[in-house]
Amino acid sequence: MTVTAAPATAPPPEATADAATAVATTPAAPGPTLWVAATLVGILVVVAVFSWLAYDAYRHTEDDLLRLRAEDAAALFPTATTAVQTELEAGAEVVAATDDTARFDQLMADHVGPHRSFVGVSLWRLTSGGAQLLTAEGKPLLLAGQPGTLAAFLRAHDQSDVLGVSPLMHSGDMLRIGYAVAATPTTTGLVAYAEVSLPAGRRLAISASSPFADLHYAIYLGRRTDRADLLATDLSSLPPTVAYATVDAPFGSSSITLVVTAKSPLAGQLLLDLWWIVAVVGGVLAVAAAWGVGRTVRRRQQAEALATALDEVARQNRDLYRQQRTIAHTLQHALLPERLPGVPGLESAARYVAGVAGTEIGGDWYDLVALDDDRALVVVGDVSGRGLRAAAVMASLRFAARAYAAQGDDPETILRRLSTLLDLEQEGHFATVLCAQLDVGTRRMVVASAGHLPPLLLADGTATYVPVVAGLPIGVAPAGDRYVSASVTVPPGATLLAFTDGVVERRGELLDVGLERLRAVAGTLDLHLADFLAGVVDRMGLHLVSDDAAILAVRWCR
Amino acid sequence: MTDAPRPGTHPHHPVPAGPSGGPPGTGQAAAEALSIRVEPADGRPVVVLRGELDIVTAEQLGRTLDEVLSGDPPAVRVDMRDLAFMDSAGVACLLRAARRTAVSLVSPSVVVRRVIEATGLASVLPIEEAP
Repeated sequence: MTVTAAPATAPPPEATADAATAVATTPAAPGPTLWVAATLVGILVVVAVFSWLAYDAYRHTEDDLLRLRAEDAAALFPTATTAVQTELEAGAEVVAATDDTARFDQLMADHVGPHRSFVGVSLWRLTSGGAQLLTAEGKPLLLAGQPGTLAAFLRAHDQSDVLGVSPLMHSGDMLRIGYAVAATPTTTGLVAYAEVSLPAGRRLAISASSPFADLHYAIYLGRRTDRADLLATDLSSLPPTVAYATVDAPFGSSSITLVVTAKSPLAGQLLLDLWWIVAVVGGVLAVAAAWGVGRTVRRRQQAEALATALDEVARQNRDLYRQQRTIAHTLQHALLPERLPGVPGLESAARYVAGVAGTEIGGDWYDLVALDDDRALVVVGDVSGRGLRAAAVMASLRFAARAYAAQGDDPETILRRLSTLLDLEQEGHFATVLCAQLDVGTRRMVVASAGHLPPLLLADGTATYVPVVAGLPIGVAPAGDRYVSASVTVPPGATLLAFTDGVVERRGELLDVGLERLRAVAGTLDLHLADFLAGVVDRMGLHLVSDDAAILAVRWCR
Repeated sequence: MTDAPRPGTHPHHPVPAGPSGGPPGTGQAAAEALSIRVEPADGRPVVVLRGELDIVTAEQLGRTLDEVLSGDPPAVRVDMRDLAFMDSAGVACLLRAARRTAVSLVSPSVVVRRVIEATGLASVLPIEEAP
């Protein structure tokens, strides 16, 4: 069987309960709301910035792409003018070469009529008097009804190798543009003139492979975007209400202005959607992060509250410990003489030093009883163990010894009577007691010991322990014990030092080492009695010792 | 019996060898522990102590001795070869057992032996040497 005993301590239940109350009443630190709000706002701002950047990137990309597409679409117009110019030029030049206008009609037949290039064509010779019609084919030409204007228009282009383009002509709901091309060499004065009709409702037939396929458009003749110059559009409102690109391109002698918008995002739907995807995902992340921060802050606050509570428990434990020590000390001092009685011819002083370990009251005591004018009794005792029971035993022994002394008993008798008073079996404690009766006048001293350490006698510069045979401690022998006293006569000025084992006993050290230490310390101190005792307490390190220590010094006056 | 002991031992400034106090439960438990082992030997049990027997550990020894004594042994031997320290509470514990049967202390260290001698208890708690 192996049993290991070790000191164990648990925090007193009251302290725990108090600590619990303290936890409940600790004022809450500012809640995690601030942290949550700060996190939320912070992340949302970042999200908003990124979202805006995504939208801005989309817009820029879209603008760039729209511009490129517009330029692609606009590139169609110079090509178209080249085809028109080639057809008309060919007609005019064959007449210039052959002087046969029938050849013109033959050449143009394929290009005139519904769903062909022109609604009507004609060939004119410019003379000094004006313009002379050589031949015409197809529908009547609108500009032919205004000979002056026609002549001016033809003359304006008879020296140019660029296709002449007339302003937009209206007649009823007909819209037409006129083209003029001079034959080379220009000296012939031959100019071909044709008109094209714009589709009704200004709407173009767009094939799926056309650059216009995914664009809405508005095409103006000239550089202005006037309604009057509008050739074609499929936009319901002009200028467009959405992002648009405007480009212009040469168109024969004139130019066209093209306004386009995208039917669907040119950069792709994903780029268009990116900004709000960023916003939504970012918003969710912000909420999640805020929640996480809130939880972390709450946990940290809880941990801090717990740490505070534990500190409080520890503090209360310390307070309680201190309080118990204070109670023990108070009780201890209450059971010891408040002051030593004055005995003529004797000086006396006593010290009680509570051990640093534990909170329980000890069982050490000292006493000085003035028997009569010439005699005094010194008692020093030590009840085994600690606690209230030990203190009660100490008190009963102390006052019993005083009573026996008052009845005139000598030290041997006092110890014998005390030994019948205490029973280890019943009380659980035994006691060692030293009893010394001092005669002031004769300087004779009778000492008896019940298992107690001998007193130290300082006389004539030497320190010796009084050779007294220790009988059994009080409480050990059931029927009591007998004690043998030693009688010593001391020189004038001698000092008797009675003490308990706490003064000399140290763990792991032979008792004799401690006794020798006390002898040496006491032997070197030559002071007034109170200072002497303080010196002994100090140099024996009694304030650092775990055990209680009581010490009583009596000095014969010289 | 106690004249100036051991001439030649030089007095030095005292350094307490005991635990340095402070509130209980501050980690000195292991150092102060007492281990108790009981070896029943032919109706004459041997209680083997190792460590320190003081006011804290005495209670444990008291319980162990009560158990041992409940068997009404004619004698109990307490092996003290490995006991480093004993205070008055420990002595009280042994003295109570000595009321009920013969208790002898086997080979106590000089430190413990000196405590028994100083308290005049050698007659009640006789010391014997281990074979």
